[in-house]
Amino acid sequence: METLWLLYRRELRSTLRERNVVLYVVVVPLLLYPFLIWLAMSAVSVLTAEQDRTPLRIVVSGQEPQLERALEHEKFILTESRDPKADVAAGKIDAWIDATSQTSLELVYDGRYRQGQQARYRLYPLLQTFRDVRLEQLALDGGARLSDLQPVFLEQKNEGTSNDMGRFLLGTFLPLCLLVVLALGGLYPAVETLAGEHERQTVDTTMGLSVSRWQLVVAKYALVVSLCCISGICNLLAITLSLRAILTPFANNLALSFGFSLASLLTLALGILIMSMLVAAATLLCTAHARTFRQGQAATTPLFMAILIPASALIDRSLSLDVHTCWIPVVNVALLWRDSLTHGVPLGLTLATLGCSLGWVGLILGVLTWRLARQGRALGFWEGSPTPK
Amino acid sequence: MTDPPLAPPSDPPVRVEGLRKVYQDEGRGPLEAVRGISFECTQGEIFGLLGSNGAGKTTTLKMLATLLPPTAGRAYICDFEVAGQAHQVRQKLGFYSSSTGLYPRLSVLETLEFFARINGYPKARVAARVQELVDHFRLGEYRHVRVERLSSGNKQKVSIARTVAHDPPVLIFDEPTVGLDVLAALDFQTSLEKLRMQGKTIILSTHIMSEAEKLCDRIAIVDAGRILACATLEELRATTQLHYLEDIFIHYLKNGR
Repeated sequence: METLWLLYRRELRSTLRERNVVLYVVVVPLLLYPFLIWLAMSAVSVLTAEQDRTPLRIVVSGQEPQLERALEHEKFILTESRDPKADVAAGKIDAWIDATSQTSLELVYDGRYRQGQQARYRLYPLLQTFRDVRLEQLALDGGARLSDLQPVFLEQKNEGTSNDMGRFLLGTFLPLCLLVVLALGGLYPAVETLAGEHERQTVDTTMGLSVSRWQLVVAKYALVVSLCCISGICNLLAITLSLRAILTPFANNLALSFGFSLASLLTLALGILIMSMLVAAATLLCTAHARTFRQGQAATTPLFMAILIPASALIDRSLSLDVHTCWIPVVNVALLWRDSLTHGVPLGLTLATLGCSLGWVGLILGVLTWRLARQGRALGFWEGSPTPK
Repeated sequence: MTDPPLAPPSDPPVRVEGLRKVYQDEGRGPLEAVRGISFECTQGEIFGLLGSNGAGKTTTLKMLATLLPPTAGRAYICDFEVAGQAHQVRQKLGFYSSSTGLYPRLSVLETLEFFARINGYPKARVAARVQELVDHFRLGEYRHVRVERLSSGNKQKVSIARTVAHDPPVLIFDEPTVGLDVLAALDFQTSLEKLRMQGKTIILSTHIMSEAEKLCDRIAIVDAGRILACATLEELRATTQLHYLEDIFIHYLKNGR
């Protein structure tokens, strides 16, 4: 154990003194992702506001002064046209409301134009309200009482507490950020610890140490795992602490709370550890053949994509961690994070995810060992010195 | 340096018997770099391997340092077989070559402490040993400086210090003075002589004739993976009737090929 500790400490010292590693392992997870979330939310907010302010040219056919007043109130530009259908198609007007019939209202727009889509998005709810009012008026004119018209009242009520909403948002942002951060956090240390030895001509130095080959591999693996974990923990802290401040301005006066239970916290930490072990094994496998930093980075780029593509599972809200998804690497941990934040995960599924991921880690490490041994036999120094024939 | 007393010497500390190395070259097929080399080194001896580029010196030394597996033959360092007892051999050996770079982001102290401890030097005596090395190689001023920020001469000193950090009885230096200026090379030669006086067995590979003439007790002239001659400088002179090592070297190369 002492030998392992010496090797690990040497690797850690060397790696943490490399600026790029510190940048990707600590600075980026702490600062960049909260900033990116803020930037994305700001962009969405600005675009939405811009969309609401865009003046849209509307033609109304039929005598509907009430509707026209409502449209003017919402800052639409009312204009006239001899052939509104052709003008919509030509983009000269953005929408045409045909209210000539007593029984129907027709909204005509052209989806090829951005303004056409905006007109549909803004006009449709307005026309629905207008339709309800007209129906109400017709019914009253026909002698009906108001209470008879609305036997069923439609009301909106958000059952989600501020804590639930906070968890929902955390569950949306945090797993994706963690996946990116862990992939990046493993990539540079793995390249640094393997290809870096060749680049700095320290391979013979390391291979000449009076330690076993497996001790060297374990120390390097432990290094990448621990740096991945540091990335993940930095990111977890940064997102958790900053999300309230970032999202509150965009939350339409909805109170948000981002606290989570001890069980969620433990599950998150377990997920970070599992994912770090998986990422470390995979990045070391990908960079095993690299002789330069450039080769190492090229080798890990496809892996980065392979880790991020399963993250699309997070977008599908109907998907959750179950007896099937817990067997899919990366997806299972991403769903474990999300579900533990939103509604909790049964212990059995957590253990199944852990077991499955450890199985994958074992498999990848087995391939890595085989690959290093094969490569070492070719280069002549993996096994140290096999018995001569 | 006041090193702790050496363990009882195994005689001879370095024994090489018919060592052979064949590389599998994809383009050219099997390539025999070392063709059955045999020699022995005694305690307190500087044994020189003299040869031109590609003669097989580095391959031989890498096999002794357990970095390359021999294709055939046997070699022993302090009675440990390099192929089967690599771990023990590495504890008894300090290997220095242009390919054994230093870890650039460790400081001088961290480097020496790491190499001493990882190669099995007693933990309780490591601090004293490191201090001794720092004093001996006059590295006190740079003890907390990272290796990457040192000058070439000081890097060289740290390299030698890390090679001897665990106080091994056998030392291998593969072309140690390549790229050094005259003063640094002289500094190195002084260090080597001091190590010999401490009873270390040293194998020195070089193609600098003056260095071999000055330092080596015995010289093996290597060409195309074979030892063409192995004797003291005086014996070589007597055999060839030539005075300068350069002439002797060329004589053997011409007759050996």
